[in-house]
Amino acid sequence: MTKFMLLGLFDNVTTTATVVGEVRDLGIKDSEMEIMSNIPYASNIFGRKTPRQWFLPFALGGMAVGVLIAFFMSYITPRLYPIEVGGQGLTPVPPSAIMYFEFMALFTMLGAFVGFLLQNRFPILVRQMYDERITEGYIGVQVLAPSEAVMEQVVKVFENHHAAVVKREDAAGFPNQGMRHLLFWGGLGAAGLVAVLVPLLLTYDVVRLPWINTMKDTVVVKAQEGPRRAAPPDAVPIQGPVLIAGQPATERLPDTPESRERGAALFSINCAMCHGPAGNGEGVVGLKHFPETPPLDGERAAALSDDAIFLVITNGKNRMPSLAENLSPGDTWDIVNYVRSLGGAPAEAGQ
Amino acid sequence: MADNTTEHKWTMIVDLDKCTGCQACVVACSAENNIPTPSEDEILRGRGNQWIRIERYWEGEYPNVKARFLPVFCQQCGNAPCEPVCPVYASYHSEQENLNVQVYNRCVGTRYCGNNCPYRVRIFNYFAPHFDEPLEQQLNPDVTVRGPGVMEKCTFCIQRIRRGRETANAENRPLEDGEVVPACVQACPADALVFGDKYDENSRVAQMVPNERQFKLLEHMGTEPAVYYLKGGETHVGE
Amino acid sequence: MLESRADSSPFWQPHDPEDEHLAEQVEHGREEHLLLDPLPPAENNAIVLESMNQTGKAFWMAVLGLGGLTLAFLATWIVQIFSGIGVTGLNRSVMWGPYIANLIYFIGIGHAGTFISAALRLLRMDFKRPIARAAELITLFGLAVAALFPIIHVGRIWKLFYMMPIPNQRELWPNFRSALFWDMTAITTYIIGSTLFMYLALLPDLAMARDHSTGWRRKIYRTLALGWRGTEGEWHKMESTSNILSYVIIPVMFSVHTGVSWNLAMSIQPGWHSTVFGPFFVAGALFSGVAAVILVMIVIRKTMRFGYFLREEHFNAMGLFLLIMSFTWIYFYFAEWITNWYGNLPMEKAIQRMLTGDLAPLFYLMLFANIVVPVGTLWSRRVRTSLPAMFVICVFIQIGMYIERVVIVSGFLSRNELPFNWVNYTPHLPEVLITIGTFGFLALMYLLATRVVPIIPLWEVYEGQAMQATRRIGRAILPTRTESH
Repeated sequence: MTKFMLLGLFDNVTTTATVVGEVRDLGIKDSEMEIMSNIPYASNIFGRKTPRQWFLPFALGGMAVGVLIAFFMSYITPRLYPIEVGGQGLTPVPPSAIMYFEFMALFTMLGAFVGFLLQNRFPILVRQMYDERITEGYIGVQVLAPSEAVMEQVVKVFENHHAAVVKREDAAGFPNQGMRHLLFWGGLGAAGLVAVLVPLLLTYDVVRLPWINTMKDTVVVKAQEGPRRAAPPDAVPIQGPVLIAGQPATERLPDTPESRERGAALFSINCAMCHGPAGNGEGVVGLKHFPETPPLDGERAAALSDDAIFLVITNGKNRMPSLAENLSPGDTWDIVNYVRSLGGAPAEAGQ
Repeated sequence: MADNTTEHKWTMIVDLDKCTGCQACVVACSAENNIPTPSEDEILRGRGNQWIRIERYWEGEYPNVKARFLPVFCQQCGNAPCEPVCPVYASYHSEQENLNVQVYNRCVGTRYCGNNCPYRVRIFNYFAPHFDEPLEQQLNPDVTVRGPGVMEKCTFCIQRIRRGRETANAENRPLEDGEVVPACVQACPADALVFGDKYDENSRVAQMVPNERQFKLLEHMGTEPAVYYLKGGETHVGE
Repeated sequence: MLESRADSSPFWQPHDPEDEHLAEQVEHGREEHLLLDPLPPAENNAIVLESMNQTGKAFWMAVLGLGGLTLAFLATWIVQIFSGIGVTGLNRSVMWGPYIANLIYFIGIGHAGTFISAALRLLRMDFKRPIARAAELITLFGLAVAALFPIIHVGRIWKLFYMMPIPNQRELWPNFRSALFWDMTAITTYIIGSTLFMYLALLPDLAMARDHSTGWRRKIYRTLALGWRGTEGEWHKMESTSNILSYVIIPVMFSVHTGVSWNLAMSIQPGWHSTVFGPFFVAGALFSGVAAVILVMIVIRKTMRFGYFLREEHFNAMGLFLLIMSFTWIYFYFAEWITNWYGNLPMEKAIQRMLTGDLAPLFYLMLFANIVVPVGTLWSRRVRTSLPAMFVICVFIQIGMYIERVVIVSGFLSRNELPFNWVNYTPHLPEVLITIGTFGFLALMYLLATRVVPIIPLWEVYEGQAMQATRRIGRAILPTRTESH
């Protein structure tokens, strides 16, 4: 049998209450009637029972979520990365109390609101029996009649009481929300999850944004940063030699076997990783460079003057950093001597 | 003996009897810590950005006026009021050095710490720093050049403390007294500033602390500063 | 069945008694009381909907002007971001200035909205019925604007996300011991709670707007109304949820401004470190908030022609409320002043000397605006129901409360323990432009909202009208009120 959905509009409470009574007498159950109005009326005005609702689980559930979050903020986070601050313990009571209060309040309210939406099946995505005059003060009585005969009887009741509007339709035209509702909330939940997880990609540096980082690159001349600049003409050095652009800092040390020995030791510490232990440009790090680390035992190196080699070590060149921080001028000359030996130049006599 | 877990209690003693108010410490600190020189306008607006400043108080009526000099810098309070108020932990307590540490790249610039410091030693970078050429070549590579919007303050030259510790560690020996010298202490011609580790009983500071002239600045506020001042002679306080 | 509604007439067609004398009384009651003067809802709906469509020349002029202020605010802010906070007048001693005072002020004016819609709802005060939504909108937009100020005043905006409790690769979380973090949580809670609360009460009116509008408006309202029909279940659940939210949001409201005041009170700055700051600021918030609501009521009554909805009785009631709040504020301010004065502690004495010395013009203007003006005028019903008078009084109160905030924030900071560091604060152009601009921004948002959202909670008015009646006792016709649930 086809069921029918009916709607009757009345302009006052008394008539509506009478109509509701008469419709109930026709055998329609309370659960198959709905009263719609633009003002909240207490259910007993129409002789009906207050509709059931349960908010407590939602509110308490929200409160529990709030407590958990507050516990996390006040107890867990200080222990994940303990940082000592002025005289207060890791989890002092008064600030924790504030955390608990605020988060409990926030999530209780959110929980109650979610409960409101879910219990009313909001948002309603299917067609509903409704008339716009309800928001003009008319009270609507919606009836689900189980058969055509009952429907006619209900219509008669409506007309007897001078209903302002009577609507009737096949109840099949008003399907249940069912899947649509689930899909909506599922979709919303999924969108929410994505909205929460995607920023994590940013916060965990999986996706690196070129954040403005004003303090990493500054005007300061950093250690090992070349080229080593000369002081202004009238600068007075506090300690150490005056560095004049384009000139070595000191007199060249003689090219003795002792100097070469020292140079060899220093070379193995400072230079071998790129230029190779044998000075042929095949150091562990040097092999990874492009363009290649130049070899020091070949013609190119032999063609350079001693001063040029000294300046390259002091100022750096291309990818090679300035080693002036690590090596004193004397050390540098020792290495120059050693490099000369790689090229096959004979040592000077010891002095 | 040398390891990275030794706890130090870095302490500064300021002898007000010896301080002449010459401001050599101010200049040295600014040079060491990459502090840009403010313009006269900025100073008049109350934006002096020196980490150490000589506060000058006039005492008495003309013609018996006396100037009292009080070098004020971060007191590295044990119970620092600037620490719990920072919402991002940019200001916290280093338990190993017992210093109040400011982390520049964490600072968001809410300036709550600056308000809460009773000594007003916290400096805020209201503008981006500017160094005239060629002074940027003089900057200390061991110290960050702070960008705009970041709080800074005296650190007891923590870069020098770290370097001292690392050297001592590399040479497998404990840190010796007098090895770590902040810039202001190094520059003071009157030897009015004394720096050291109070936990080291043989250090100069530990031996100078029990001095009958000793007082702490704003002690009643409970901040437990790590700086002792020695009262200058001929003070007429209380007369 | 209701005795006086035993006849089958709609609530908007009450029967008048035949006796002339009695009919006169009924007529008089109808003039005075909105809830005794029902009109067919279709008519009232039309009044409100028409006012929402009212976009004449004056409206666009206002939008232009306020939009200009907003642009000025945004432009100044951008300049400040790129140049640094140094463009303001802040210095080494006074690191907080009008931005923080604005934060406190805007959060403050928002409190009245929550009080009116939540507390007065629980107390069943009928005079709040036509005002509730206008007040709540002040709360919402006031909070939205206030939430901008921590962003404006911070030195490194691009790192502000450090203050959010999100998991990150640094493994660092914000410091929950800092009062600024309490602020963040409290303001977030309050703004979410207020929005939800307002939205709940808005649903029936959105349904009404949906039913009586066309085109793009109808689409928006249909989406926002969520399919509201006004069934018993929907009303019942809406009332229950509103109850829960009312109970929760009232303590949250107190906690928000207390939290903001604790930004100041948690520090050891003399003058700020005071136990009375929490309640003092809440009282001040309600005080300035109620005055703001009255101002808005006056403006919308005039410009949107809501003379039917907002009557003398409402302004009278709000004026009384304002008077009570002024007493409360005066009490707290005096308590603070006398404790500082009596104790004679040097720093607090220094601050009081500054207030009566350097800052004397501002200080005495504040006292005049907050004490003399309300107490001297609001005791009179004539004043309370005179709209021009109330406008002037409320503007004075806003000025007075604003001065109070600015003096407490930037005035007190200039006096600290080491007198070498006493530097007076003077505002510079950016602070002025941003302050005025944010007022304009707030007004602009409000203006646009009044054209999108029905600003009178019609269903609450209808409910009041349906539940109020007159009853004859002896020779008098007196209003009666029915408890409907």
